[in-house]
This record gives sequence, structure tokens and C-alpha cells, in this order.
Amino acid sequence: MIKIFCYLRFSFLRLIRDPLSLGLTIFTPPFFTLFFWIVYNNSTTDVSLAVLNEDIGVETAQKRQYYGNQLILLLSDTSNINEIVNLQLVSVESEQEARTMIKKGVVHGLISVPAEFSVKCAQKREAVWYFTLQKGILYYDAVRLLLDKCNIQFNSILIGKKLLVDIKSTDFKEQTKFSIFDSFVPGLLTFAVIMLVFSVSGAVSREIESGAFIHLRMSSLTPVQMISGLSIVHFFAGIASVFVTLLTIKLSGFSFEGSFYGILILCSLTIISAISIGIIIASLARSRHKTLLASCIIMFLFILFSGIMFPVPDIEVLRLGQNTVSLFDLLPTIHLHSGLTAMLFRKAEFTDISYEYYALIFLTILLSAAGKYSLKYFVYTDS
Amino acid sequence: MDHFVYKIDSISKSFGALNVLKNVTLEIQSGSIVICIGVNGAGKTTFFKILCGLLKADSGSFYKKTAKSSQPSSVDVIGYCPQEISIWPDLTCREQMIMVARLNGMNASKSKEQVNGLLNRLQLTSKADTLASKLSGGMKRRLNLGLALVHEPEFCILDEPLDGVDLHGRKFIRDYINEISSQKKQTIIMSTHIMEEALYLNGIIVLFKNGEVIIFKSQNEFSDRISEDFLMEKAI
Repeated sequence: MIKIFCYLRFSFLRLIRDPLSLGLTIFTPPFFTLFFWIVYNNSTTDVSLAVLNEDIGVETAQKRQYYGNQLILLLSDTSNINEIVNLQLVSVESEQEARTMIKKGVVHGLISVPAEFSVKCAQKREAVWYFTLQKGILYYDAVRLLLDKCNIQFNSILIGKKLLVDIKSTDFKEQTKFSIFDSFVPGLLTFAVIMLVFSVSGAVSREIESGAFIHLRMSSLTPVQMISGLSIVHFFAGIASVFVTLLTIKLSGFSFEGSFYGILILCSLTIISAISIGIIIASLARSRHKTLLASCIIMFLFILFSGIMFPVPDIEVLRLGQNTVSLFDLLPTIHLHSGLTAMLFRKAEFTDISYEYYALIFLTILLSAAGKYSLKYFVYTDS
Repeated sequence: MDHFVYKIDSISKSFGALNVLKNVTLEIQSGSIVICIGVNGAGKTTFFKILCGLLKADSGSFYKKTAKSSQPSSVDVIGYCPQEISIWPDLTCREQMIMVARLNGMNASKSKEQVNGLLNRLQLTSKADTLASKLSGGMKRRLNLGLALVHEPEFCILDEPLDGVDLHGRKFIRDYINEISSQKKQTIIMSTHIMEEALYLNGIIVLFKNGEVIIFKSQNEFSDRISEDFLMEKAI
């Protein structure tokens, strides 16, 4: 333990004596947060949706009522609800037609109203209308929130206060204002964690390249003790980065609804994974130049295939009970991003995102072991 | 400190077709100095790295034995001064020496005392709290040496420790090496290209040539045999 703290102390000194690296690690994510807020806070976007209205209406005492039409009318003008997403509705005759349009990129999703919709509304029975959104479209969560709000308004106008009309998913975050910027929040927090790969791999490769690592090898400091000392220092740098990013997000007006501790646990697990990845990169690359190149490749892999920027292709590799393990589930950042998204926008509890938690715990253990072995076999032992 | 005999037993190492070391065998009494000489690429650094455990030998072993017991044991506390300057540029001289001492099991007060003494011996006291990156080349060399000796290892391996050190500094270091060998009974094995150093230090001289070693038991033997012709023939 004394050796861990001794190495930790000097690792900390080395970290703070490189203010540029430390500053970039901690302040780059909040800087991007601020930048995204400035650019996207008041921006608007058009989202085209196909509408398949199969409602046959219902005969009432006065006239034939078409509740489906009234719902579509409400959706066609959402300016009083939301000034960010402008829904462009395109009427279609069949689901097949809508799917073809989605494939061609003409529309981003489908809203369908079933035939018995009006009948159920009139009978005060639970009615459901459906939507299918193309996953990964920009402002996905903003559109889902907008549809949810429309549904609430439709209920209050036509049915009364009691929610009888439902859409397929109703577990959205109820926020008074949803900005386009908000949809970037999980990605920005994930980015804060990804940055650690650079700082850790840089610190280790700098130590290897300076030759000073030889004194650690000659001492009785084991790879596990070295990793522990190094990890504790960089763990707190990572937590500092997440905190400053969260603070910037909060100051930009984002309202946190999910569990703060849940966010912290998800970020902490991913930070440990990122530290281990940094150690693996530095152990294999061994020079700062190669480490920088390898870290860039890993960063792009994380950003491109964690759902931060683009939809993640679902390539099934195995099935565990009810869960399908996709190829990109091997990236810890995908679980952080999806866990944060669920928590921040859908008020998800632990049970709702247990897959993400367990996957992150598993990957953290796996990567930590890989980090230890790569340091031991590629740096501590020359062949 | 107990009296040991360090045995280097038939160490061989090759890199592909190149045989760098061929059955190198050597016996070193604790508290003695061994000076390794030889041309560049003769295998001195490879030999040192094998002794340190940084490189695996193809065959052979390195162990120690006491006079009382025939049971061999491993050499645990080794100090290694690499040929290249291997220091932490972002730590001060004092900080990194304390770190190495502490990581090698020295307690806080002892390490502080040891570091102050060593900084003084290496003439680095005035630069003790200066970042290593800001030191001159010669000072970095001295710090490099300090990191190998700070934890008082029983077996010190110094790979060309005097390179790049000025004449005045060299004398201090040579005196210090003689002192720790004679007084603290630390065993020193070092390499140098400077004949004068080999003769000044009170130890055994080992000549590396084509992966094999020629041992001179004393300076006198070395001086007697080391005529100009011999130097040419043995390609020092």
C-alpha cells in the first residue's frame, strides 16, 4: 500500500506539472459543451414523418367523429408546443409505402393510427396510436418528446384529464423545454470519459520513452501496484472532467432528472475502462508518437460506434438469455452513452439499464486485466 | 552485510544468428568492483540487462551464495544505471531519488537522509529541487547514477556511468564508487570506454570480445598485459 501511495504521489506531481495535458483532459469536454450549447440551443430542424391514418371513425349522436384526423391535425401544427422540431407530415396509404420512403430517406419515421382508434376514444377505452422513428436520426429524443407532448395535449383537449389515449412509449422525460442541445448531453459526457484514453496513454508512454520506467522495473513495484497508483490519479482527473462537464451542462439550462449517483457509477466504471485502454495502448505502442496515433484510432472508434454521432449497426455476435450481444457492445462507451440517454431522458432506474451496468462491470474487469497483462508482458518483461 | 559470492554461470545470448554472449562465466566477491571494457557492440549492455533481469538469457544463470551455505539464492536488490539517461524530466532530483528509495522499501526518514547524502556526493545539492528537465547533460548523468545507488543496492550495475561527466565530476564519482565498495561492501559492476577509469578504480577488469570474456584479476595484471600491441590485437 505504501508503494502505491508513493507512486500515486509522484504521478500526481507529474500530472499537475503538465498543465496543458491536464487542462485539455478536464476542460476540453466542457468547452465542447459550451460550444454545442451556443450552436444548438436555439436551432430548429425539420423532421418528416409518414402518416398512415386507418381510423374508420365512430358514429356519435350528432355526427361521425374522426379522432384520428384530429390527432393528425394537432401533430401538423406543433409550434405552440415546440419551436425546435418542425414536423412535416406526409400522408401514406400503406405501411409498405412508408417503409419504402424511410429507406429512400424521404421521411424519418411513421405515425400510424389504427382503424378502431375513434371507437376506443368514444367509448373511453384505452386507445393507442403508434410511431416508428428511424433510430439515430438527429434530434431523435426531441422528436419523441414532442410526440409525447402532443399526446398529452390531445388527451387533455379531447378526452379530459385522464390519460386514455396512449402512444407506444410513454416513459419520456417530461420537461418544460427540450432543446436540441439536450440531445447531445449524453454524448458530451461520454466524450469527457474518452479524453482520458489520451492522458493515460500519454503519461505511461512518456514514462517509458524517458527511460525512467526502468527504475520502476528494477524496484519491487509490481505492475498491479503501478497501475493502481497511476489509475487513482487519472481516475480523479476523469471525475473532475465529468464534474466540470456536468456543471457546464447544468449552467446551460439542462434539467437533470436521472439519478446523480447512477450517472456517477456509469461514468466511474467507464473511466476505469478508459484508463485500462490507455495503459494497453501505451504498453503496445511504447512511444509517444505511436501512442498518439493509436489513441486517435481508439477515439474515433468510440465516437463513431457508440451512438454518439451515428446510429450503431446491430451486428449480433451472441445471445445471452433475452439480451442480444452486438459486436459494438464490446465498447464500454456504447453502454455509457445508452445508459446516460436512458437515465437523462427516460428517468431510467437501475433495473431498466441493468444490462448496461453489468456490461460495463464485465468490460471494466476484462480491460483492467488486459491492462495489467499488457504492462507486465510488453513493458515489464523484454523478450 | 554478509559476505557473498556472486556467480554468473555460462550465460549465453543471441539475437537471431548473432551470438552476443557465449557462455560468459564470472565469479564476483561481494564488495568488489568489476570493470567491463570492450568495443561498442561487444555485448556489455546485453550482459548487464541480463544480470538486471531486464532481458532473458538463452541459457545460464546468475545467483549468489554465502561462504557458509552452498544453497544459491537470487540477487534481489539490484541498482541499475542505464547507458541512456533515464530520469523523470518532470520531477525534481530530490523527488525522484526519494521515490526510487521508497519504492525499494526504504523508510521515509532513512530515504530523506540517504538522498541528502547522495545529492551532496554527486554535487547536486544546489539543484536538488530543480526539475530534471532543467539540468545540464552532465548533471542528468549524475542524477541517472544517483537513481541506481540511492536505495543502497547490494549489487550495482553501472553502464558507462561516467560518460558525459566533466573531469572534476568523474573524480568525485570514482571516489564514491571506491568508497561504497570498500566501506558499504556494495558490489559494483560497471562498464567504461576510458582506460584511465579502469585503472583508477580498484577492481577486476573484464574484457569483452566477440561475446567472450577475458578476466584480469588485478590492475597490475591488466597493466602488464595491456601493451599497445595487445590493445590492437584484442580490439579494445
